[in-house]
Amino acid sequence: MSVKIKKVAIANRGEVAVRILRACQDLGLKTVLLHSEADVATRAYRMCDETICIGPATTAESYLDIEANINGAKAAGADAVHPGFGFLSENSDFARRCSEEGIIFIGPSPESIALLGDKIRAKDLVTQAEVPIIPGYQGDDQTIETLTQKAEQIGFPVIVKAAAGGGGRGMKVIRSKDEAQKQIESAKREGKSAFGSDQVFLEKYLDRAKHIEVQIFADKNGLVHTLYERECTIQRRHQKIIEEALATTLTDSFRESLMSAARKVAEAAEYKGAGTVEFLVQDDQFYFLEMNTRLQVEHPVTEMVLGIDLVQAQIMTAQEKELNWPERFSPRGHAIECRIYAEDPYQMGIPSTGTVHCLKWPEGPGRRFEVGIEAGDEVTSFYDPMIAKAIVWGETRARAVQKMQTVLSDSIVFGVKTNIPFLKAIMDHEEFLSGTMTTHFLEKNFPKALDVKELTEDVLKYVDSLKKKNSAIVISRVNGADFSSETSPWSGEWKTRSFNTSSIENIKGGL
Amino acid sequence: MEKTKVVSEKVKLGREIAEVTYQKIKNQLWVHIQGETHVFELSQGRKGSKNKASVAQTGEVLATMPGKIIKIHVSKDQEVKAGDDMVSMEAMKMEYVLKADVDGTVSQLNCNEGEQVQVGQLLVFIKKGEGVE
Repeated sequence: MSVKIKKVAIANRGEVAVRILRACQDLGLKTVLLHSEADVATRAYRMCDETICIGPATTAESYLDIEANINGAKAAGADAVHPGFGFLSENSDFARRCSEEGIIFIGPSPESIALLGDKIRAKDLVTQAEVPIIPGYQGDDQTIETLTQKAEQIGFPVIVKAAAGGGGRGMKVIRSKDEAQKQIESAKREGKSAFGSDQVFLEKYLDRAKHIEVQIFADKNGLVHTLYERECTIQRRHQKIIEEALATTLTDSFRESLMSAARKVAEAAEYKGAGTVEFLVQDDQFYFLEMNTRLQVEHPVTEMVLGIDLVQAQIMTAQEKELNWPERFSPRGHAIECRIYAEDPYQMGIPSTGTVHCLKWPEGPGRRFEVGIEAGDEVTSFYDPMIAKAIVWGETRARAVQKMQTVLSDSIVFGVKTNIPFLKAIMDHEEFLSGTMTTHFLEKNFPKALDVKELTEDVLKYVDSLKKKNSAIVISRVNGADFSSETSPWSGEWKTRSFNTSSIENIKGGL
Repeated sequence: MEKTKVVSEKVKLGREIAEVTYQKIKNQLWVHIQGETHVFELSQGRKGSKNKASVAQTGEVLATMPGKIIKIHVSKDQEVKAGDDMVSMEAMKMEYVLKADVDGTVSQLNCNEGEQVQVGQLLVFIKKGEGVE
């Protein structure tokens, strides 16, 4: 017997809102978008059957406001809510409030979300399931002697972190026993001055690890499908930029043990729906990081190699429908996703806001674009700067990389700067091509802003000719005002923009 | 919003035929050529004077984007060195530290913690120290 869902409320924005509403359309369900005041000129707003404004632009008063979302969903008469990712997607209170109001939360139970969202309880659960976690020490005995001894037991290098810390402050790497006292004392001092507490903890420092995560999906019968892994090693300040399926350098037997560990975690948590078990992998060892109890940004690469629709599967599971999936999937080929951010790669990635005037995505076989905006829409500073995702599929990794290079070269965004040149540089990098990259790839290979490329003689000549025939550019204003006086004749110098970037330093990641 | 036309054309660059797309947006020309997007500023007549100013070390700490001031690291009349943290601001869920570009003394402090600022707004002015010129 299945549960009736007629209308799904989408408690999110941007490209993922579009992704969800498409899955709803494919399943014949109506959609209502719960949006902020700032998000009326967006693709999801235009595509949804209904829209309800739930609050102002500030996320705390709209996308993160539980009651505003509940009220919106109720007002629209929605039977279910899909939270997407980010915002309230991993908020157990929201999931609980939905069920209290008789609205189906498309995701795991509030208990699962709370359990896996609590770092300490999650680690206990994982340890009981005999899945390895990063070795460390979090005890109350804070003497230098004990800490040094514990660090030795963990094995160097060890990272010492201020317990109350964050943003990299009060974090020191101990590479040998000789350094232990100095580094522990230094971390304690920084912790004391920055956070008022000199409590520290120790963790094995993984200096050449890969980030590999397993997609799992527990269907309505509680059967846990392990849907292979994704590699998300290319990260900037813990923010993923490029993801692929499958991982680049795993042996079959290692993959099996990784998948079985992920299954154990999901089973131990009595999980339901889509989830991702994240690991760090170094020297043929894997360590549990966390389990995300929601759809991931990078879910399309899994969909591409397995030929499934994870969002539909989420909704169908909420409807208590059978998925009719095979007992075991055989992945085909290789998929890569690049996250396209509105930011300036020549200025250390500072966000670039404004109106997007032109957007062109080079569609083709094995290419997929997940996009939340259209030409004429604005990128504001209220939300995450990711404007789109480009996903490609190829028979082999090499062909997928080649296709991604073409896609990035042929994608056009005018009006805001994007990280496309940066993504292209990564796609061309030997270490990325070889598949041996580690999570330190970017800080090692791209520590500074990209250099602005010199234009060739031919291009400069062409730009010069553009200048001469500028009158051919037809400009019409919506309000009909005269435009010619401020720009014509274009007698000025043409130059590429250059900025002084040395005074900007980014220190903290976002989502 | 003014709407401008997106133009695509094939051009000969040396021996190669390239597909070019361009659009005029305000007084910039955005050109996509050979797989890359370039932005050309249209300055009217005065050659590069604006460009020069942006590279010179002025002692001006400007907001590089619209956002919120989350921390001010200095106080008025404080002596600072180039590279010192001046102001932390937050935009699009990211935190940025704006740094001093010269050695000197903080002579103006034009913002408060928690304040929303506009791009280009002068936040801190550093009077260059003696002998630095």
